[in-house]
Amino acid sequence: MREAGTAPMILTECTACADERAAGAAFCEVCGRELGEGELAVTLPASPGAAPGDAADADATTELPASTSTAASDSAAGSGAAVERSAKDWMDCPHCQAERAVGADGYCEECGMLAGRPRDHLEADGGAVAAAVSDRGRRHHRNEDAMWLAVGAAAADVVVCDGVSASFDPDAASDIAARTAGELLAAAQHPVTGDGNGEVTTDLSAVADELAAAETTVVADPDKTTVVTDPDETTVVTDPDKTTVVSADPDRTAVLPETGSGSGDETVELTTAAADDDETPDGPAPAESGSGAPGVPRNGLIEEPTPAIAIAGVVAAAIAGAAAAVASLAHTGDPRRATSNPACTIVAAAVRGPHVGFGWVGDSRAYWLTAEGPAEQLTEDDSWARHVIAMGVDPKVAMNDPKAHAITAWLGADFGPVTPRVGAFTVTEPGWLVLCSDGLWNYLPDPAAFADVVRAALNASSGTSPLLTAARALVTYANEAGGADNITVALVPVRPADE
Amino acid sequence: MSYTAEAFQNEYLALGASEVNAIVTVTSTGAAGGRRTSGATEIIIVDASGSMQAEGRIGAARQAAKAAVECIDDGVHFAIIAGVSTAQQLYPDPGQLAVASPQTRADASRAIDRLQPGGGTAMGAWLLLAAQLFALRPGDIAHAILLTDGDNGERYGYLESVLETITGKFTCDCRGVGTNWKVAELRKIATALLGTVDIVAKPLDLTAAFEQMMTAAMGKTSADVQLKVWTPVNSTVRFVKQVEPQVVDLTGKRVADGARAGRYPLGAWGQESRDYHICVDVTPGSSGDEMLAARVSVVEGDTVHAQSLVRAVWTDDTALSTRINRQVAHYTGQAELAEVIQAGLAAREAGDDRTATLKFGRAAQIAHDSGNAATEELLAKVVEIEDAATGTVRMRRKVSAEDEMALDTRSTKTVRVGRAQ
Repeated sequence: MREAGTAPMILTECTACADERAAGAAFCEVCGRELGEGELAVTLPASPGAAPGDAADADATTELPASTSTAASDSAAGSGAAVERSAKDWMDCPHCQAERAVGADGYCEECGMLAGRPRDHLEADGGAVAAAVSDRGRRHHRNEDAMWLAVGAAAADVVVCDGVSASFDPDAASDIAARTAGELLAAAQHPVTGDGNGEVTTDLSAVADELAAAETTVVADPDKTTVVTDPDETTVVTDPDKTTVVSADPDRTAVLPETGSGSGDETVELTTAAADDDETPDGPAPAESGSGAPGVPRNGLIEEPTPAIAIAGVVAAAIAGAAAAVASLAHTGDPRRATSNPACTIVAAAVRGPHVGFGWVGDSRAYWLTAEGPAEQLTEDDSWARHVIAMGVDPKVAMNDPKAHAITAWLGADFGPVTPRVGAFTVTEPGWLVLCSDGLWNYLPDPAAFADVVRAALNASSGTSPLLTAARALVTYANEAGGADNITVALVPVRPADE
Repeated sequence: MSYTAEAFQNEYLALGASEVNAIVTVTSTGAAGGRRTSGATEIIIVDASGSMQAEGRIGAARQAAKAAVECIDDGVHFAIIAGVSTAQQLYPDPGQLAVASPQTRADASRAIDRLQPGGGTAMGAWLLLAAQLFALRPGDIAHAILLTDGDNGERYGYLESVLETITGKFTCDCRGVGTNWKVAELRKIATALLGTVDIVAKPLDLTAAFEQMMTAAMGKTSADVQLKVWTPVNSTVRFVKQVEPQVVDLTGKRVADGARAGRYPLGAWGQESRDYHICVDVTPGSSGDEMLAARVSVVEGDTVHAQSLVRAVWTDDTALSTRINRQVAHYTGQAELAEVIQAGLAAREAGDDRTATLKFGRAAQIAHDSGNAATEELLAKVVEIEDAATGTVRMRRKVSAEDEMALDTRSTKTVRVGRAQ
């Protein structure tokens, strides 16, 4: 959660209110729904804590296991508990300890306090491939972060979004952004072929289709989707109608610019619009590279750059699709969305064997971390602080400024078309890709400290799901440091091709 | 009839804040024309005191009552009471109700023609007789129209004690003809009986006023709709006010319903929409806490028609907690508008022009800012508005009693957010 960088984002409801009540008693004409629908029509099939309007929250995270990983497991812990609670009609209040006092709407009938929502704590376990955890933190009343994790054999799609708290319904924005980007990533046929990495899963869409055809629940409403399934079953949220196969024609994908010798520390940038020819349902998304695009990790030696860059093109298209989905929220649901439209940040990455493509808008980050040394921040925040630091202001002064966290780019109707910044690299030594919202990195601004804490969490983890345990430990770290914001962290180990 | 209830609020509160405000809009929609779910009874009470002879009032009252009778739907029970020093039933025979039909309406018209002025004004007795007649048909939509032209002549306190016994039994719209009646007195009746009060300065306008009231009454399809407000432990409802179409404080009408809830009567409903301002004091939570401050339901007996949640979320983010909700701000202003007008009129009557000028100035400012053009217009007849934006007004030397009373009776009339902008 953060403030937006420009005035339009902090408007309170006003300008559209004349419209809002223009029809008098029948002002539903403006918002396009029956009066009170937001309060009444929401059914809460299995999520006692979900508030009206948050119906789509429960399944922000979806696990897509490949044949190698067992379907579900601990990942159900977060939502599983919620489902269990709903089995009883009434549960005890965690605030005033009144017995069986919390009803179907999640509020205590005695003290009125909200008992909790499923989205307050979400976990996704991709076994040895990846894990992600999202948590409400300790100071915010709801989790406005959202995440997506889909894993295959040595392949993972991961998305982390953070709602802009100054906007209206930011939790809806992050939810739809994470899901849309995740679905687009899963649906894309990554143009990685013939590079000798036979074991790389390049087409996750087939997996998704198989799963969809099998026992999973598929809900195809892009606006408000509530999918509640037995947590022990695999859940795939996807929209078959909107699935588009991205062009796999290698001639039309991005090419690496001539950068000289190709030595280990070479900075690779996308100079062509990798995704120009990628058809997304919501229009083409130019993957712009830009001078601001960060370099690849120092440790990521480039051998065959094309696969990674092609993946980055897919990521760019996915982010553009997410941007369009978030923008569409401004014209649905509560009329207040029109004046302060839902907005969020996004960082997304797709890992295919040793190849990593990533992209972002806003200040959610991706890091690359190896066995030693400081973490490499792959992304560059779209934030006020980042801009003034670039202009020469002392970083400490900049980060202590109240505006430090104001973001200068976001997904939302008021931001217009988004040109996500992307990056790509192919690893030559094993390491971890870490995606997180500022709820974590705020407490670890120093790359060395960040690396130490993440490595400590990874080293201390054992058991059946060490990655999940490590992700949980990082969330706990942020909560113990204050938990001032929602926290989301995703861990994806990446290995070189020859290992 | 189906109802909806929608809450408008800024749920974000600063740390330590305990006051939760919300506007709940209740809207009912039914099949076209709306079918009554129960029977209906109408009683027309016409003042027939001696003073009604003046200015052709009794003639106009006869015309108006006849017009109102013509508006009564077939099958509706009705009666007409002639108000003098005692209450006399004019039609049908004493202790009975007629069933509306072309025949009974014609009979009633002839009975009304016999209405002759003479005697005093005894509103308590009139209302008591009406209550007795309504009691013949429990469960009906019970509505009365009271027309008077003067002060109540009953002993002090009698009217109040009658109102106490009959409150909730029926709704009553009150109209004062001429300028010799007391606004406060009729307002007391209308407030206790969930009705409206207005001035009909010219007897000629009575017919239109009666027709309008009766048509509105015929549009009611549900007899006794209530607002049920649940609040958590250690919290209190500071007030529940209807704020649109007019300000009516319902706080004192609370009837406890279990340990945590109370019911507030809303009277009869047709196809309409009304706004309610609910203010609850709760125990402050800590940052990030979310509380259900009130669960507001529209109920009829044991049936819950609609429900809306009023929430409180404590945050240390002042950008969120300082947001002003337009609906709450608007109706807080409209309630203040009614208060300052009434305070201004009281000060003016007491000869305190200084206070009156201040109050009217503030009233002009609110009326202007909120787009309440009707009230601004009425205000302009009592004071000269020099600059509405700054609330600069000057007292008029000569103000007609009619304009003053119109401003008083209509001071509670509100406008909806954005409607006049």
